[in-house]
Amino acid sequence: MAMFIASLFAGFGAFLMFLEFGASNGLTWIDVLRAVLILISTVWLAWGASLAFVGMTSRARPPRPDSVAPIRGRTCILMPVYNENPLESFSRIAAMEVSLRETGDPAEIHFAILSDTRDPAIAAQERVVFKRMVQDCDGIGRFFYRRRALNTGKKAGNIQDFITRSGAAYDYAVILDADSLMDGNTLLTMIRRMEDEPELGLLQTLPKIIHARSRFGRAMQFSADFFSPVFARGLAMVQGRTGPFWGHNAIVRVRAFAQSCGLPKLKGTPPFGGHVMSHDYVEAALLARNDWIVRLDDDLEGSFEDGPENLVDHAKRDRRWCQGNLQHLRVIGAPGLKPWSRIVFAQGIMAFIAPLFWMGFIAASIAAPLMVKPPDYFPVPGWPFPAFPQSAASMAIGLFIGIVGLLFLPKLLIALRAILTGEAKEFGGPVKVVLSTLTELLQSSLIAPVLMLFTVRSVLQVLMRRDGGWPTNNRGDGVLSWQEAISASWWISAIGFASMIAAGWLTPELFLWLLPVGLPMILAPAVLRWGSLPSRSDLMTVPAELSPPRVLEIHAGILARWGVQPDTKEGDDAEAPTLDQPLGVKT
Amino acid sequence: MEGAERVHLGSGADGSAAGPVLPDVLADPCALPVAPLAMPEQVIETRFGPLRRLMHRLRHGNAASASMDAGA
Repeated sequence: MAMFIASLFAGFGAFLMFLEFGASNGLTWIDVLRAVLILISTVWLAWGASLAFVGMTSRARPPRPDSVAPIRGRTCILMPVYNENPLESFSRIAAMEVSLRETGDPAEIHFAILSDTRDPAIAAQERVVFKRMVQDCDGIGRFFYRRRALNTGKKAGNIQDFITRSGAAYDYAVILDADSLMDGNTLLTMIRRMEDEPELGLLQTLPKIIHARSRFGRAMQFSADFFSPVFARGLAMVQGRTGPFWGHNAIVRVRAFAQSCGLPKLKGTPPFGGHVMSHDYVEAALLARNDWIVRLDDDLEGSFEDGPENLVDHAKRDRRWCQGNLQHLRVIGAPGLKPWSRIVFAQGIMAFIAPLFWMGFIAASIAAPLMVKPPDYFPVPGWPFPAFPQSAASMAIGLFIGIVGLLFLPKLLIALRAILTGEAKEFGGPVKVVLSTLTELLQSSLIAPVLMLFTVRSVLQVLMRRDGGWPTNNRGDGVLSWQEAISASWWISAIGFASMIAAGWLTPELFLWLLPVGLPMILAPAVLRWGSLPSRSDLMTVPAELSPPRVLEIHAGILARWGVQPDTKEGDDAEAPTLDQPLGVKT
Repeated sequence: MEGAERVHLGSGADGSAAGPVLPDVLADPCALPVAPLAMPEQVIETRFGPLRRLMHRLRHGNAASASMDAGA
């Protein structure tokens, strides 16, 4: 509640300051519009910042001491795949199996590849690699594979198909993505926590990004490792028993999931109707509705995933998430949901529409002079002395600093905290942490305007009822050619040019202030291309690079044994799996 | 195992359980176990939009509101 009040307070403060600024030369409707846009945007920024402050002032700790009791239940680790490179994804399953075996724990844990792959060539590869993996891991009776003829309901439908077909055979299911990797000890701890708390329906871990190579990817990786845990802890603290589910690197109680999470098709057609796209938020809300605890345990390490290597892949993924989150407008009023579940839906929607408010504010600021009468320096007839409008420049600058502060301050404080607590050592030491933080801030400021326009386009596409479909994630080295970068972002450059020309003509006094937004837009193809190139900097170091967790080493060993080059781009190996010993499976 | 009966593992290669499955080259013992578990469909949408629900509530009082979202 305090966070809500603080965010509203910040928002209204910005609103009143802006109104006063506008009133200095006569308040117009466009000033009021801009003040409202600032109000909404500031509340949103302040909400994010307050999450960070809550995260910074609390400590990650297990919900209760972890037991070492023997695990009684049976668990299945599920990896849904959809046209993924099977060598890349199945090798992760093999690594998790080895990591689990190394713990020496006799827990009964199975692995199921749930294939929704549409491409017959990739499906054939899946069968070859699966056979190899079963042979490698001596996995008969513990490793399962099935491919659906129709991928009804996409990932949610894939999981649902598993539960309705095989769910009664298991107590717990660990849900992964095709790029997930989890340490054996972490998996066992998750299962034990489920066994210790019979009312716990879902336990989410905070996955760290690994394997990033590009400038963009490494900035994301550093951000996910260094800043995100603090924001996530804040989220875990405020959401409590109605926690988040991010769709992967989480464990569910199969019975609770089956009882609560049968998703219907929404009325109407996509993008708002049809199958639920961002099913994870909905499943978390439905579990909580049935009084199951859904919790983020951010103290759990050993949970990893890959991230996009360039801004285009990031924007493509955002396009899917945007459509999925906006679809929640249909679900937010569902009967019986916990208040926090509704707030989570609202947060998810706001994450995508917030850039619209910023964009509206910038556009209104450029256009404002068209709506404003020139100042009247002689308002009193016959009075010989001019009356100059009150200058509100200092107030505008104060407002600007306040908003930038909400953006930057949490990250700077996280860096300071890491230095004071000694956590910085894990990231290469205090100097490296400071330089990495500043570089990340600079880089994220550079890409923010480009990302803003990608998001605005996504929202408009959804509102115009254009279904974005469900493209395969493009994982791999992800270097963008100039042609690819220009083709993806020429329209951003055009908007940037037009905006800056309009600013120069209509509001020359704002021109310099708008440059940090306009210049990255104009240079969008260069921003995309530059970010996708391999990083040669030793900044943005993360703990997994300095001291690789055991499961990452196991995974690298398996890839080497299977003859996979770590830098292989997904599209490059479409012909055949590069297993050194094809197993002669009939395909 | 909580609440669910343990069922035989390692069968079901014919894909006879829920949902269509391609003829599987990976027959026993790598086909998923047949151990069905019901997954009842949940109500996740209100039958009416917020405006209609508000109007209905105003007209009929709070008692009627439950019927608008029947099935929760």
